[in-house]
Amino acid sequence: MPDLATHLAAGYLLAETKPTLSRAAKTLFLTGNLLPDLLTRPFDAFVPGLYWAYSPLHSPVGLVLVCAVAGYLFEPRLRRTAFWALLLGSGLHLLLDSLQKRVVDVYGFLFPLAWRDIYLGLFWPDESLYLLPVLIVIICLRHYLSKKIRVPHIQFGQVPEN
Amino acid sequence: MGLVTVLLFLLLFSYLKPGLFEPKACRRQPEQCIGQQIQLSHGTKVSRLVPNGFIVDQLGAKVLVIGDNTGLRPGDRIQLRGLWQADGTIRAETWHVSRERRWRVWLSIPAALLAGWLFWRSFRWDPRQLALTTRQHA
Repeated sequence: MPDLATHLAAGYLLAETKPTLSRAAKTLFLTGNLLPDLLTRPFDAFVPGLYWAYSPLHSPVGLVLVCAVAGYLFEPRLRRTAFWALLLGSGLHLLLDSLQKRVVDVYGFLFPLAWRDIYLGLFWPDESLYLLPVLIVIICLRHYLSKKIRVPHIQFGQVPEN
Repeated sequence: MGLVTVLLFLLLFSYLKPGLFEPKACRRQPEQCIGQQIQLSHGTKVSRLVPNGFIVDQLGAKVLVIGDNTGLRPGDRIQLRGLWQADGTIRAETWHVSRERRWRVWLSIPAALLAGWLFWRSFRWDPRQLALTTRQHA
């Protein structure tokens, strides 16, 4: 896996390309973006012997179910948004993971049919650390530029000042 | 409730029928593993280097791996793919050592905390509805 900071930065950049999204939806998207690792890595650290019991939580099928269950934790008007935002975030996480090189099939992209992974093999998991500073610079630049060229919000009927 | 049941069933299925061969299982039923590809990842460390390979330790199960040990150090976290041999060893096909894993873990903690803070800034638990709802400003 790339580290969660890289996942979060990539998710943030993608979420910011859609300014019409509500803050709640963006937050859920970012949460979903970390969800696969949040559901499994603590077990890796504390109960690695149960690996096969929790590893489906990092698979697409497992994540669809988790997002659906998590959706029910929200009030009814938010459930659909919560489900889709969490699921899309998780999807981005799996997409980033699938870019990595690996020597073992650990993500179960085809679970429960098989444990074979589908991946592009562009970089080793550790190499995502080198991408993180680039992502942070892009985020800072984006913030700086968006403040510089912010279009003033003009209400209907209001005459803009010079 | 149905969703939770299906999810738990999947987790149980995965636990009872692991997708990949593991050393502990191969020692119990060697006839199923001989000549089969074996993959080691979670909790697998290099325990010791030997002249023709190295010994890996996966959660207490130590296995001799025959193959190139160039660049390996005891204590390295390793991902390994190889073939299970009749004598209970593994003939290595390929392996990868993750040396920066510690950095990835330490960087992940503040990212997870930041995500948690963003979440609780946007949502709150409503005890009347027994559900999460948006905060006023979210």
